[in-house]
Amino acid sequence: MTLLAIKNLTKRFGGLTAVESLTIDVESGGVHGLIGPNGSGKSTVLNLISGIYRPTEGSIALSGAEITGLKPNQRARVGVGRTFQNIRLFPTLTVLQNVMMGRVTQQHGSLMGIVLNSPLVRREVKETTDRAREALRFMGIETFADEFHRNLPYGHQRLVEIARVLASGAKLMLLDEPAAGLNSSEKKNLGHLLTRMCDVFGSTVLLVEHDMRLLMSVSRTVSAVNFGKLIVTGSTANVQSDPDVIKAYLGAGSSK
Amino acid sequence: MRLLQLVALAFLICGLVNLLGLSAYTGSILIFASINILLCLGFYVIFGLTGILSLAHAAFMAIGAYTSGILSSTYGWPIPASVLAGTAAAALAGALLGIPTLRLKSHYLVLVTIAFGEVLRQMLINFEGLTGGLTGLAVAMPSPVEWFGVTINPGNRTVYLLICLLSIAVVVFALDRLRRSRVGHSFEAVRDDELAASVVGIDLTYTKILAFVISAALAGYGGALSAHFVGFISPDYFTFDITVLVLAMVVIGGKRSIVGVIIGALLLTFLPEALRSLQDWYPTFYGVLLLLTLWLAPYGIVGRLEQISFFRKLLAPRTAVIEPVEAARP
Repeated sequence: MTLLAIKNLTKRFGGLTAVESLTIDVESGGVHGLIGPNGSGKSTVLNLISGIYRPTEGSIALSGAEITGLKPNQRARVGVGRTFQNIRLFPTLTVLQNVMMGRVTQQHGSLMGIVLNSPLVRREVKETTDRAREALRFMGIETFADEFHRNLPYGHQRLVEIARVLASGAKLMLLDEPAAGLNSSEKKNLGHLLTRMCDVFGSTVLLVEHDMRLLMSVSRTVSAVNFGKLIVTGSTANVQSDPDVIKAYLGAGSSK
Repeated sequence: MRLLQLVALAFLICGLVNLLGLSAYTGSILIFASINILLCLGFYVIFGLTGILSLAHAAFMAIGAYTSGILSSTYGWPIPASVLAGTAAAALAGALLGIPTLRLKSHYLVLVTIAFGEVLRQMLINFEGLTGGLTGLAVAMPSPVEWFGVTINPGNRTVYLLICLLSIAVVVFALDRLRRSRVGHSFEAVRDDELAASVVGIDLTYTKILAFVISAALAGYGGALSAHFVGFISPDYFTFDITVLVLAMVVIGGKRSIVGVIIGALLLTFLPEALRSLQDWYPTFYGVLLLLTLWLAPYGIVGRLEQISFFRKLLAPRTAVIEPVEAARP
């Protein structure tokens, strides 16, 4: 089943075309890798999907429903979650509170309810705390729940951000270079977590990553882009052996 | 903080004041201090929590004071109803100012909010028929009421102080609950990182306007309370100086903490009285104090105290901090 359908997506910044009539279908369940050399438009694609940029042309649909015109917070409500290349956690909130913020769209207790601590609010807070702790436990960092993220090792901070998306129950998780800055054992751990996350929670991940070993080991399908255009979408083996992909990465002469 | 404890504290302070038989002068200062606390709590929501530097606080005060004053004096509304109407009018004005400033940042936003205050003041001066213009407006003083055979006279300073203190108790209780809820965390998220906040699912428009509304409502309430205590209002009472004073109170006390803004409000209400002898030199002293705070304690007195572990536990009891050794383990 197609979860995310990107159709003829184009984004121009003045005269620069960052993404050009890109069409990608992301199937529900599992990791879909998105690769391309530096400046090929991968991050722009994520920004278009999460609503930070408005596309110049084209459409984006989640589970068949058009989301092209929605604001970022409205997309979060319908199930688009993401992490950032440079970690964007809230510095004045604890790790647990950060992860709980991931579920902000699922809570409906009114202001009055909060002040009076109504049963609905109490139930929501408990449920949110439980889900957030569960996500932290899954990532193996529950001990840091009441810490501030700046006191955690860098690799753990990345996991907190992923936990925030996981706890939100987002249908589609956009991960922007989650392995950047991690050491090899942390990368291995991240790979295991991503695979297990898809098995246990049935998550769908659109993964942008420069570490090919990690990406190829966790992805079921990979799309390669260059200069904002799609080169190929296919299984990892097919993409790795695709002459155009090799050309994009290594230059024209190397495919000889 | 429990509501009952706060209410008990309000009664205790009031009883103590009554017992000590403080002079009318000191009583008045205490009431102004309480009103300043309310103003500062409003400023805490918009500036401390949400990080929006809106300098229209005096304008919201004026809206509360004039709405309540006009309704009670000219139209004969009972004072409790007119005060509530004043609060609601200020809240509405907060929403109206919030909408056009949504897309503005830093000094642009500051300029628009200052302009709003000045425009409003000019309106108060020029709509003479309604506001009394520059000469001001005499405001009805609260009259005694009889409840179950007990006569309560809010015109009495002690009773008025009690009303102010009880208001603070309720507001502190509500804000403390809000601060620790998803709403308070949304305010902080918007302040820390707007982009991440919206991607997480926080509605920036709603959150910012809510902060404006709460802040303006508290300012309006404080303004209305002061109008009915003084018995007279004029545009001169709601100048930009008042906003700057509130800003200074919040910054010096600690903009990120409820206790902090209360300390700041108390300090800057009593200090000018204690330092009357400095006369013209007072503003200098004041400026130096503000600069010293910004330099030595960017999060105010309470921000400094929180760095001392004893006070940290007292002010913000968070759960145990993990030892660094344990944190290093995977």
